[in-house]
Amino acid sequence: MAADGSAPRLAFEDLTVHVNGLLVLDRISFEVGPGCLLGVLGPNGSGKSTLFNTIASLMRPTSGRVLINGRAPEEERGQVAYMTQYERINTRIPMSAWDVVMQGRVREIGWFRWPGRSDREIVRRALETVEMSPFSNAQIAEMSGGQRKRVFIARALAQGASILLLDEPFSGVDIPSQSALLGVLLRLRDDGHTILMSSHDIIQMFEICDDYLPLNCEPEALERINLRRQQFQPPYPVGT
Amino acid sequence: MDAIIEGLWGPFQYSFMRRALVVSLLVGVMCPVLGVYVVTRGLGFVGDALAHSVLPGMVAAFMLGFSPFAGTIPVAVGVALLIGYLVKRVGVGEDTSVGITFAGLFALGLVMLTAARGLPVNLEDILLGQVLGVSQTDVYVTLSLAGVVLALVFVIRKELLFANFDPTGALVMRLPTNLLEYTLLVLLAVVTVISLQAVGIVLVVSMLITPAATALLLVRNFYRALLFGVALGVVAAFGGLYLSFYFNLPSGPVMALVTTFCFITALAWKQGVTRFASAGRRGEPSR
Repeated sequence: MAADGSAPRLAFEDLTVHVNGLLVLDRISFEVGPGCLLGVLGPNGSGKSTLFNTIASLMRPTSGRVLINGRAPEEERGQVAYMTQYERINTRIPMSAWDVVMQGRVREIGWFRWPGRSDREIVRRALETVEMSPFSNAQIAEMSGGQRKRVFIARALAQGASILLLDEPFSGVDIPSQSALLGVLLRLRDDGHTILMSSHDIIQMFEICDDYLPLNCEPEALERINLRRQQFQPPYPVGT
Repeated sequence: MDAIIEGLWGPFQYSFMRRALVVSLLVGVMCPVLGVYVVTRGLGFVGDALAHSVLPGMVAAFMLGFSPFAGTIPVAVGVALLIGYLVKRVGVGEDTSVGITFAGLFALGLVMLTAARGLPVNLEDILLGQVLGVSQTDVYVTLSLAGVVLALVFVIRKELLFANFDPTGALVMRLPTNLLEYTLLVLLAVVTVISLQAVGIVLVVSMLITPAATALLLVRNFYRALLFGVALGVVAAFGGLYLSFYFNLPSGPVMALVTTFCFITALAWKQGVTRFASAGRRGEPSR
């Protein structure tokens, strides 16, 4: 529960998830509020993607639950956007950055309408926020890794999502693009978005994130993460 | 001038040619509309398989004295749903599912055709199409089915594109991705069956895939590629029918050849433009 008594933006209560009979997430309890950049840390296979899939309702928990603004994820449609690895995108389809961001409006546009003026304005502003306006006509397949990620963040903004899930956002991104991407994420954090980033690179996450959620980490890494959490006062009361 | 008008209108003095034109144009419009989704989703082989799989339904319809549509549409829709089920629920690979249903049902159709002697149709017509033989009823059925297919594609166009482009993103946004996938397969089944009359089992894929692939080669926007594909499909249908009339050739294969010619021309054009552009870049003075 937040200090003002309102429900946290995102909460896990005794979240347990099995994948193909294997226990991947074991009774995770955690809360995170608005305006927080949360690093989900753990080695490969530790359950980072499983956690994201569960938040995004792509997987069902075995027990426990995920709450978004204190409600079941099914009742908070459009609040979560998941930026997966680029390999899952179908690059055979010719899509410009504008087209991709407009997909964020698909539910609001509905089945029979074409995008209206307000949809175009929202897309324009989303591209502006991620500093991709000059590339709005560029093909997504021809962009660098960092540019693509910013376009998908813009789609999340056009969708109106308040929780962004980023799976290894800096992998395959060169250093200058990493810094541009980080600038965008920090701005969104300051605007009140809740951003969860997965990574196996603890050092990098220490430099970026406001708080950390360790998953199946080695004892030594876990100790470092807990020490870091004690030194740092998260922007929102959190608890494991 | 009169000679030109006579040349253009000449073939359509005959009612069978007018009926053939309507059906061919509908096929030329519908196939690329669905084709751009099929090509970008990598389902071209499924279209080919569906065309071959409907043979038992077609033969059964002829045996019972029904319209071929009565036999082919249920079989095509059933096969499309079966392929979807095998891939999504059972975990059989897409190419394996397609290969099994395609070979099994086509073989069954050939056996039925041989066993049922005296049918008012021959294998060549089924394989290569016989658009000049369509009846007025076939025209009405084709028109109605085309209307339903085009209306449905219009309604789900954005959602289908989203699910094709980013299936995970579409799921997270709570789009009914499974329903969209099955709907695409069913639409593919219906379009395949409609196209059988014009180009036959063997060449259906040429109308479904080639105009869409040509358009996607040249156009860098999905919906514009769809419209360009339709233009190419109409050219292929119209051109194929004319050429087949004046040179006394089978219309289905000629339509398929027109689409192939368009693709080769587009490919050569694209290669030429790419080479010209890269030569231009090499020739630029260094800054």
